[in-house]
Amino acid sequence: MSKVWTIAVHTVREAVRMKLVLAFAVLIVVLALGLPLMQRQPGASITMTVQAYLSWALWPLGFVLSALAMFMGCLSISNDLYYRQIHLLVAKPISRWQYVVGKWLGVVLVLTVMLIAAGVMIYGMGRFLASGAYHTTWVSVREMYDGGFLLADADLSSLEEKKESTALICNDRLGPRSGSDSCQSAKLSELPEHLDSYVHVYDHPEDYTKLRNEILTARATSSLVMPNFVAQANAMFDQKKDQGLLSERELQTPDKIKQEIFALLQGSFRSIPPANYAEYTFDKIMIPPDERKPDRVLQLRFKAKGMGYASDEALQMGWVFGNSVNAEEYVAPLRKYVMERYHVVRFPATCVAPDGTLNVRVYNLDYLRQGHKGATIAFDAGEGLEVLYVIGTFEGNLVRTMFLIWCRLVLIAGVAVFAATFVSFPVACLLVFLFFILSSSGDFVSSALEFGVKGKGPLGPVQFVAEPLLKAVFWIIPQSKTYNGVPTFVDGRNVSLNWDMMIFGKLVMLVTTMFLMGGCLIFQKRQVAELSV
Amino acid sequence: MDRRPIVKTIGLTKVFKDFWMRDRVVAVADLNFEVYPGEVFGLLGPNGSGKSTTIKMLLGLLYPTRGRISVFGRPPTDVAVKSRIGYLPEESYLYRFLNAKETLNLYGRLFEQSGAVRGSRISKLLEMVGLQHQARRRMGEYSKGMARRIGLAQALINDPDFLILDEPTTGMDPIGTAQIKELIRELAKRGKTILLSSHLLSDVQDVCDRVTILYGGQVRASGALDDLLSQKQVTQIVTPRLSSPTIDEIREVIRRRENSDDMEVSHPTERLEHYFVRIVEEAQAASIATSGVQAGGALADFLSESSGEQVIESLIEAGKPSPIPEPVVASNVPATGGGREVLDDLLEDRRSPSDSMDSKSQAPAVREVSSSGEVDRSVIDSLLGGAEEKRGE
Repeated sequence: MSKVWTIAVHTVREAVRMKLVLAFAVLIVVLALGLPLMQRQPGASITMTVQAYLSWALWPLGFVLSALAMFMGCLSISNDLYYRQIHLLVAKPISRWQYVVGKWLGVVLVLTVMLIAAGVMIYGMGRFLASGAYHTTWVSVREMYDGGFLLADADLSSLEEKKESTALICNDRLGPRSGSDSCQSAKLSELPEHLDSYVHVYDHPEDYTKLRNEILTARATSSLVMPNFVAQANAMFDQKKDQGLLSERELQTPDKIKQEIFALLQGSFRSIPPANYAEYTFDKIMIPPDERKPDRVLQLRFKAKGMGYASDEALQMGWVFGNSVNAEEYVAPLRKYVMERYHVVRFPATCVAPDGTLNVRVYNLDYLRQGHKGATIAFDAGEGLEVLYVIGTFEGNLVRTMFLIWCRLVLIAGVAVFAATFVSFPVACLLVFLFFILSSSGDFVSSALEFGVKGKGPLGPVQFVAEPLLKAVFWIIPQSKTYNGVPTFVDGRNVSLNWDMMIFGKLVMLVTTMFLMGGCLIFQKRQVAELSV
Repeated sequence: MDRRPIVKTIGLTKVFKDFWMRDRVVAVADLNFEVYPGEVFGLLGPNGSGKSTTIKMLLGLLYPTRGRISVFGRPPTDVAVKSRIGYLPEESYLYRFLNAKETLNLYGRLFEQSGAVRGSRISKLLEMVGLQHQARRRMGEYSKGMARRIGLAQALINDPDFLILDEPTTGMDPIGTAQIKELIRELAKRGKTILLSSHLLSDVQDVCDRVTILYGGQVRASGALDDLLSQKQVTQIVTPRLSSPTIDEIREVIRRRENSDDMEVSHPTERLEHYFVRIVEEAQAASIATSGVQAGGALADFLSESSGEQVIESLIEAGKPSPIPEPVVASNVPATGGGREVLDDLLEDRRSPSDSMDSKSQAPAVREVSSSGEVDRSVIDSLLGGAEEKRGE
C-alpha cells in the first residue's frame, strides 16, 4: 500500500507543481465567492438570492471539478508515457496495478481537498448572504390585483422607508412593460387599503423565515397516495371494449388507450370542481412521536392551474389538515393563490396521525368571486402536491450533496485513468467527454430504443444486437440525474444518507472499481516503451 | 565457483508491428547471451542495432515477440527481481518539477526504504555525483549532464546487485565520463554485475570484461574484450625518446631477425580525456566558483560489496552451472598470434652472446603501457645493451 501512496502523493505534487490545481482553484474561488457579485438583482428576495447563489455555485463547481478530474486523470499517466518517466517507474519494484491505482488515488486526493475547500467557501458565502448583510433592502413588488398591477421598485435602506416608496399602479394587465400610459405613480403609504395586501416586501422578516424553513434546511417529502388507477384503467378499457365503444384503430393500440384512460383518471383525481372539495392522503411522514407538537410546522407545497383561466389568475382555496379522529384538525386561513406558481401552506405537526398519515381536505372556493361561476382547480402531476417536513439540517444536507458530487468525481477520475492506460491524452479526454454525454442522454437513447423495438428505429436489422448492448452500456454508465443532488439541495429537500450510500455503492464501489480493474488489466498487458531502433 | 547467469536470453526476438499487425521492424532477432555475476558486460552496436530494445525487454518495458529472458532466474516482469536492479536509461527521464532530493526520495520510497536509510543514501549519492550543493534545484533547471548524474544516483539508490546502464556517458562532460567509468570499475570490484550499453567504444573498452556486438538486432561478435581486441601479430614497445642511431639499430635488428622492414616509429600523445580532467581538477583545487557540478566524492559507502557467491546464493532458479561460453569470433575478425615470438627473439638476441645476465635483464621484457606514459627502462636497456655488444664484436 505504501507504493500506491507514494505514487498518489507524487501525483498530487505533480498537479500542484504543474499549476494545474492553482488554475482550477482560482476558477473555483471566482465561482464560489465572485458569483454573488455578478448575480445581484434588484428586487430579488433574500430567499431567491440565496437559492440562486447555491444553485449557481454548486452546478459550476461540479462541472469545473469534473473537468479537473478528467484532465488530471488523463494527464498523469499520459505524461509519464509521453515523457517516458514510466521507463524508470516500471523498472522499480512496483506493480502496474499499484501505479494505476496510485495515480487514481492522487487525483481523488486533489479533488477531495478542492471539494472540501469549495464546500467551506460556499457554505460561508451562503450563510453570509442569508444573514442579509450583503442584501440591499430592495423592494420590487409586482403583484396582481383585481384588474391591474401594482408595481413598486425602490431601494430601501430600512423597512420603515417602505411607506415613502413610490409605486406604480397600472390598470393595464401587462403593466408598464406594455408601454401604455395607464399607470400612475403613487406612494405606497397612499395606497388604497384594499391593495395593501398585495404588496409583498421581500425583506420582510417573513422572508427570512421562509429562507430558514424552505432553503436552509433539509426537508423530507411525502407524496400523494394514489389509488390503483392501473386496475381501474384496465377495467374501464374492458368495459368500453365490451360495450363496443372503441373503434378498430383504438383496439389495435390497447396500451395507448389504457395509458390515456390512466392519465384521465389521475387528472380527475387531482382536480376539484368549483364549490367542491377533495380529500387526499399522504403517508410515511416520519416524525418521531415526541416531535409531534403544535409548534413543529410542516409544509404542504402545491402548484395548480385554474382550468380556463390565465396562468397568473388568483383563485380562492381552503385547506383543512388532519381529522378529529386520530389527529388534530387545523384550518388554514383563507386566501387567494396565484395559479401555476408554487405555494406553501403551513400546518402543525399534530395534524399527522401516529401511523404517519395525513389527511388533507382541499376546497375550491373560486365560485365565491363576484361575477364568476368558478373554475376547476387541477394540481400538477409529480411535485404538484406534496407534504414537506424538516428532517435534517442545512449543513448536513450540504455535506451529503457534496458527497454525491464527490462520488461523481471519483467515477470520472476512474474513467479518465482507465482511458489513459490505453490511449493518448487527447483521445482519453474525448472518451471521458463521451462518457459525460452518454451519462446524460440515457432517457433519449431509451426512448429511441423503444421506438426501435417496434421495427421503425434507426438501428434497423441490428436492433436485436444493439439493444442489449446499449442497455449494458447504460447500465455501466450511470445516468447523471440519478446522482445529481444539487436541485434537491437547492430546493431545501433532504439529500438522504440512503441516497448517498446507494450512489457510493454503485458509482464508487462498483463502476469505478470496474473501470480501475479494466485499466490495471490493460496497463499490465501494455508495453510501455515504443519502437526505438 | 557457481556461475549461473544473472541474465540469460534464449532466441530473444522483438518484432514491432504496424496497425494491421504486419511486421514493421525486426528490432532484435534470435538473440542469445548471458551475463554472469560480477562482470561488466558491454552491449555494443551502432544506432538502431537493438541495444535499447534488448534492455527494455530485460526490464519488462517491452515484451518479446519470441524467445525467453530470465533475470535472476525469473521473468523480467517480476516485481521482486526489480528490487535488485538499478537502471539508468539512455536519457534521464526525470520529473522536471522535482528537485534532486525529491527525485531520489521518490525512487527510494518505491523500494520501501525507511526514512533514515533513504535520507542517508540520498545525501551520500548526491555527494558522490557532486551535486549536493544543487540538491534543491528543480530537474528542469539542470543541464543534461547534471540530470544524467541524478539519473545515475537514482539507479544506485537501492544498492543494486545488477546495474543496467544505457549510454551512461551521453551528455556528460569528460570529468563525468571519467567518473562514471571509475565508478563502474569500482562497482565491479565490489562484485556488482553491470550491463553497459554504448556506442562509444572507448568507454566500453575502458571498463568492460566481455562484450556482445549487435548489428541489425543480431549478434555479430561476442566474447572477452582482451580476446577480441588483442592484435598478436603486432608488437608495440614504448620507450623514452630514442635517438636516430638507436632507432636505426632497432630497425636493423628487426630487419635481420624478422626479415621485415615494416616498422613504424612515432611519439605517443596524451589522451585528451586525461589532459582535460587534469586541467579541471586544477581549477577545482583552486576553488573557482561554479553553478555546475563540483568534484564528485568517493563511492557511496552504502554500495555494498556483493561477492559472486552472494549473488549466486540469491538466485532463485535452480539448475546446473553454466560455464562462460567460449568467445565467439566473427569470421571477419583477423586471426591472432605471432607477436610474442618477436619479443622472444629480441630477448634471445640479447641473451645469446652473453653468458652472464645482469639483474636488469631479468625484469619482464615487455610490460603494459601505463596511461601516464611511464615506461620500464630495463626493456630499453636490454635492447640497447644487446645492440652495443653486437657492435663491439
